[in-house]
Amino acid sequence: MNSILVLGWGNPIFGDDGLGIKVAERLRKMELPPWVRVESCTLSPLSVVRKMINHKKVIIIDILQPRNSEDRGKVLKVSLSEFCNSLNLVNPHSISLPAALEIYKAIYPEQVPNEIVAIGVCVDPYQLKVGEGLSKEVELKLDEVVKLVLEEIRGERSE
Amino acid sequence: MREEEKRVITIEPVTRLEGEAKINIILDEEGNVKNAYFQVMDYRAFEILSVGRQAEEIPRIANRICGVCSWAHHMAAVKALDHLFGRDPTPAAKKLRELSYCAHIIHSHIIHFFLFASPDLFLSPEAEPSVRNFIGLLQKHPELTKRALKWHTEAERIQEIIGGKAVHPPFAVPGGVSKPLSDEEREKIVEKAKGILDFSIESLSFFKRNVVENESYRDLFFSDLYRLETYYMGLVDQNNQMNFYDGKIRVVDPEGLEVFKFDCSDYLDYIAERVEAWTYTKFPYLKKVGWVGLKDGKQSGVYRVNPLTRLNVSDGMPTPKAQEAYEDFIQTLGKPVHATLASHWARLIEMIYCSERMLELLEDPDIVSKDIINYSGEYRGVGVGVVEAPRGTLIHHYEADEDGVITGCNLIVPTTMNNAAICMEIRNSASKLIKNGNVPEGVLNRVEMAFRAYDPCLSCSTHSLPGEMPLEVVVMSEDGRVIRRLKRG
Repeated sequence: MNSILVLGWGNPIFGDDGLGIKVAERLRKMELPPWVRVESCTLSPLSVVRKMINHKKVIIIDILQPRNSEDRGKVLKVSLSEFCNSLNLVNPHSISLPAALEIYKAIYPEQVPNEIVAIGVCVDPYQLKVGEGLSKEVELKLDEVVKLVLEEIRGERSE
Repeated sequence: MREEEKRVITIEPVTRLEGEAKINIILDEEGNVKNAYFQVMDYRAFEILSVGRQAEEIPRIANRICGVCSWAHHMAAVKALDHLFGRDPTPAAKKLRELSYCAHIIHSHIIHFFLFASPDLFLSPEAEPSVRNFIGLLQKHPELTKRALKWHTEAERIQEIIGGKAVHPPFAVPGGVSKPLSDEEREKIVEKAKGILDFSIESLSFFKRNVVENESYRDLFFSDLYRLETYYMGLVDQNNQMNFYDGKIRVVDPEGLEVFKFDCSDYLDYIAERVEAWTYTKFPYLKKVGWVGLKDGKQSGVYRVNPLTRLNVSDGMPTPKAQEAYEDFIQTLGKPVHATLASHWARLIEMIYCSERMLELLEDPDIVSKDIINYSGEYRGVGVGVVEAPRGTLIHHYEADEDGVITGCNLIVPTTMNNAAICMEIRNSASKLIKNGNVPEGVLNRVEMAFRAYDPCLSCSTHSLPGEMPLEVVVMSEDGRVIRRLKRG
């Protein structure tokens, strides 16, 4: 049973937004428990939530928007309850992950995982640049992100 | 009133990229709407990224432009590359591409119609924002809403079966496709396509009962509040009927008469782009008609691309049930249809067409042929590809040197093609709703309805966590002082 889904989410042609894809690549080369599945994607939130269905826990790896200037460059773990939400949708491009989750929960309440966390590096969105490859600053944080994801998988890190 | 005291209303999704999308409404001295404009991130950055790469890499990278429209960019790019390499795809490859593309159109249309348009259509545009959303729709119409999500998933599954991947497929390659379809896969898709056809017909019937036959809704949706008399552009087949994957680009005038019909490689003879000082987003217009500003009518080269437009440029639908739905549509609204919100109705007709077309293609023996790629052809070094994206005509144009390295790239995306029309829609609807500085609470949604009908693509491959993306109306002075703020979400 794939009870944990580790999902590297991002766009590899959008600079540091490729973080999740890079981390997933590294994790795939590691020996992980059989109940852990690693995937990566550049999908819209609705399709991402569809991937989460029937997993007990989901660990999303992505860049994170800093809450304040001190967060910039830090590696953080945030839980679903910390995500902001907006259900008033404009178009498929601007739907948020929490809104997509709420939609799926309303229809498939038993199949949406209860535990969803995001792990990543805080990057100011205005700093993102089109192009492949991570910035040096984010590249240097890769080991730390991988470590935190492994801790999360092993349940060694306290909530 | 001093210049700096003039008011500006900004409707701005708080996304992580500055200027990704923004609506500005400028009020005059009396507090009435003077002008309005819409900005969206354009694709220059992608164009720069593609230069210096091997041409054959482009379809794989182009589909990363957007997580929602990836198949449209993938197809337009690969068609341009077929042309650039001089490789005409095999009949089986063309049919497999069209099959997957029909599934993509359905996938996109279900989401737009049920998640984004339906709360206005079936819950009333006046309903409280807290209930005017998909969850509100689910509570009021649970069965239909659940089925919408189910068939959206199944449409994605069809793309996965054909392409090996639902989004960002490594499927189409210059001269063909990378994967044949097995008999077993075909059978699976047939069942799904039949289910989607039934669902599409049922959705149209639901729309007709609740909107077209409901006087108050009908008057709102097809009234002058959302109406432009423009030129219309879209792809048509050899019979001037709808086709999403291939054909000629046809343009009809505001009276519905054909004025141009051309091959996509000649697009620069017909489409010019206007640059305005107040926005970085360009305004494509019909070169042979000319630019006279943000105006509609026959003298203005402004044109539109979207589902409604596709019905306006088509002489009919190539499949029976879609043709029946099309005839009903034009009998009710006339032709051409200028009412912008009729594009939601058109979307449902297109879902019927795409389902029927998938079933036609699945019956064709070529669809399981193993002859899926043509490696021979005469290298041209330049290629233009076009498809009808869910949101309208999409053009990709590439040039490469003798080593097949990209030297130039130009993309014209539907949201840019609709830029002038979206600005005019926002201006027109805001003008009718905002009087003497009075900005009613409901104005945000009413203006958004005009914006939303075009389903503008805001380059969704950019997503962020935490994912707050509300819309705001900010009434402010030009020096940035906020006078009033209306916020959604």
